[in-house]
Amino acid sequence: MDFFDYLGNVPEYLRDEWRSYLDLAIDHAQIVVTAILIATVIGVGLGVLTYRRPPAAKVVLTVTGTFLTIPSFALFGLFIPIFGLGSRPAIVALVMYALLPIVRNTITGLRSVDPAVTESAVGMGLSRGQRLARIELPLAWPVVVTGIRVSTQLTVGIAAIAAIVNGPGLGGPIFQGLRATGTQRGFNLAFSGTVSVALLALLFDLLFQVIARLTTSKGLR
Amino acid sequence: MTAPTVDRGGDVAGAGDALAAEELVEELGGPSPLWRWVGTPVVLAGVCAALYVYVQGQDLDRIEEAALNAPMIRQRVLEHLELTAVSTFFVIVIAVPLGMLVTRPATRRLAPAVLAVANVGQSIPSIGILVLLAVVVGIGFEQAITALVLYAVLPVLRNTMVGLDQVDRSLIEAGRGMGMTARQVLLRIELPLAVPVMLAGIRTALVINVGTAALATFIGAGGLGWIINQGNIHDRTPVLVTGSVLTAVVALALDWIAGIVEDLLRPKGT
Amino acid sequence: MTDASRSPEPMIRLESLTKRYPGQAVPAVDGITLDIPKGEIVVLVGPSGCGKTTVLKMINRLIEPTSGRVLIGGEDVTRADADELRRHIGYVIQQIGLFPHMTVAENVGMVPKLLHWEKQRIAARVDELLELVGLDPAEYRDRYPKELSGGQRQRVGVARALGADPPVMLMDEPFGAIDPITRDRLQNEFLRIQADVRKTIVFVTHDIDEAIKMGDRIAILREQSHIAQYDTPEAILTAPADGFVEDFIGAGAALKRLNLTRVREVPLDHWPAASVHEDRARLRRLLAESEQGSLLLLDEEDRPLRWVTARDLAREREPLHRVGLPATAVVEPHATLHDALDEMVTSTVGCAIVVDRRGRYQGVVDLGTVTSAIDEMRSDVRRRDRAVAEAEAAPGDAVGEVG
Repeated sequence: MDFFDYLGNVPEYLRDEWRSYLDLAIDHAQIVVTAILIATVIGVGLGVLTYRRPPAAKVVLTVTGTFLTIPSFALFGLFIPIFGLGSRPAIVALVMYALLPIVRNTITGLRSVDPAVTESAVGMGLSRGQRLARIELPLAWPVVVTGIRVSTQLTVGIAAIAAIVNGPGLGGPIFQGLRATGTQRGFNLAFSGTVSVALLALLFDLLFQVIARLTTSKGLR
Repeated sequence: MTAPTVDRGGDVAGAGDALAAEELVEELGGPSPLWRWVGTPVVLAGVCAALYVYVQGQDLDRIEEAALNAPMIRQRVLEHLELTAVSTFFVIVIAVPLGMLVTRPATRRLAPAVLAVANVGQSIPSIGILVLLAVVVGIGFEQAITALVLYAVLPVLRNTMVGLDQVDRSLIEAGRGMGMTARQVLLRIELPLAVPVMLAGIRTALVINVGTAALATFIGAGGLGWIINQGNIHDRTPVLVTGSVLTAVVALALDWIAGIVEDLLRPKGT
Repeated sequence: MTDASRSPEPMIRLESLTKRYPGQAVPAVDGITLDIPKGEIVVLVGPSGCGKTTVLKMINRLIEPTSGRVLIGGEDVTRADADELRRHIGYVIQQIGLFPHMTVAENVGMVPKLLHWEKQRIAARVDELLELVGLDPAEYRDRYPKELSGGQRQRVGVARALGADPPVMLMDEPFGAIDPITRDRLQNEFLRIQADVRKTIVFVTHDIDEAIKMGDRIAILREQSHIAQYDTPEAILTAPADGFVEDFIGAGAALKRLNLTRVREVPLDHWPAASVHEDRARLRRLLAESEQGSLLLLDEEDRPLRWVTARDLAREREPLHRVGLPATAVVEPHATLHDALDEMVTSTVGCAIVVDRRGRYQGVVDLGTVTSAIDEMRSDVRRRDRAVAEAEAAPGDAVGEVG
């Protein structure tokens, strides 16, 4: 059987099984969203703390960059002895992967704010915190959102590997498919899982375009 | 290219470097050369030494001994390096010429379409591509290489396009104006100036490949993933830790070498 | 300077050169015909969008003309190999476009290299060119463009364009991106170089003052590169062809004319001057004999030192080099009358002191010199116009290409 023979039988399979894939997609989305929320809080926080301190910023970027270089399978493997199996090691690993794009874009965004704007805010008597909250972060926001979006794309894909540590989500059917190579059933599982992950990624991407639009000041669009 | 933008066009510039902090670190005054050249290998050597001491201290059972012996580890490391090297080679051979091709004046209109296809391709999970290939074609080294190449083409393609695209138009005009042929302008002006961006893409592809190669064990292509997987299915922590740490060390070491190559190949004067 | 309509053999001839872009109702350049004499700088000047850059780029075929011909040295180049053609035409653009990954020497030697010169010949040529543009080869040869100032980059750009000693150079706003003070210096330097190399140069600018300063001839272009007037700067300033040209020149045409004459071209006035080491009695006598109220004191090497009046000379106790006022408003012979006038108004005695290159006193320029120079120019142009009118009236006489 070739690829297209297999493919032809997938719709029938999905007619019966789409509900379980929907459930898996929701699980998958759940760990991604959880990880991204945590990573955003940590990442933006680190960015805000370090964007005016280049030595500190470099350390943060180097460390988060190193996380991203570590193969996901290795990181999941390392976390099994520490966190056991399930969604906890998965989420911790995903947070680590999601950090760099968010930190990097936060720092880049904050640094790209026109110094004249900051100076005039100082001149008007805004405090350090007020400047950050009302001027700098809103101006840097589009860049920060891009970073979060990139992180999300990244983690949606990596979360599929989390099935190795018994993580929830769409990685499950993919790995099940592996146990049935050369069969229609194996193809159904691997294909449906893979395509669902891709669709979820695209869905997140669309969502972020909407978020970027809604949360960006009209003056910046 | 320092600030990724919100619009789709920004994808080209922004996401291509999403996996690297280099550019921003550069802007912040550059990494300390000491760390960049010496720090990484020292730390990695330390980690390996600690791993060795840890494993030596364990009382290994038969399963553990089967996975954790020098010939086995050497074999898995070599397999891993082979998977990474071969796939990265093919990625470069495919993506660089393609990127050059679609940025020529005559074909420039194709560039957005090519990027869109590649972008969508990137949202397919690497494990999915790997498993699908195994299911349809069967397991083995070639299938693993195919999956790795498919998955890592995008960053190199995109960075080649971006790198060529960001070359100042006035340099191209100056080159043409003094009588260089289109080919000479490409080879002597555009390509050398695009090298840093292209290398960043290749380095990203290398990191992706070394990571995805860890999954190649699932389709029978070996590599360090095999050790991790042995540790996982037999629930043997020393094996799991050794596999994971070695995989991470290999990845970081390759990235370190790539960083040095990047430093050395950067055209002078830029 | 010869008359525009009578240059014997033009180096470059544009014949009904036209550029039409698809989808646009009117051509960007509509049949421009122009003769560019050998060894001269012809400036194409006009408002933005008049197509002057398009005209320029059609000469080296960075833009292919829709119709018409370009003849260089009598040869139709519109069908020649474009790359080969460009290697023999120097090209300087506003952004300069130095290749950042190549050293100064590699940049300057690029065209000779394209022409397969031998290494040693290229190296010698590079050094020669760097000398020519006033950069010490030993110091600058191996630098990268980012290690140069804006002005130095510009010089390297000019040197690069001269690489294979092309007879023709095209310059597209070459000084456009440089600060005014440096620009002035670079313009002067370029004119000095041109006096040596005598290239045929087509120069595009939107700045009429630059056109007047740089051009042996100026073609003022209106939309679609129709020529409003093609003539020497003197003639254009003195007798603008129509309202468009008049508007384009703008106010202060008379003052602009002062940029056309250099101090060395006008007769200098003499001012009583003497060495600071003369005895006071002699100085007093010298001052009394002259019609002026002050005397110019010079140092041992004849360089202007102080302006002194009879009252200053009477202060016996002060040494001479401390009395009176410092001798300011000094100009060299290559300065324009405009420069001299500028200095003059700041001078206490109402004139500019002219010195030679070593700083030795030569004479002075005052307001009278300036006004008579303007008068002179005006009558020159009238005489010429009359001659042209007579020539045109004469039957069977070929009329020039102007217009």
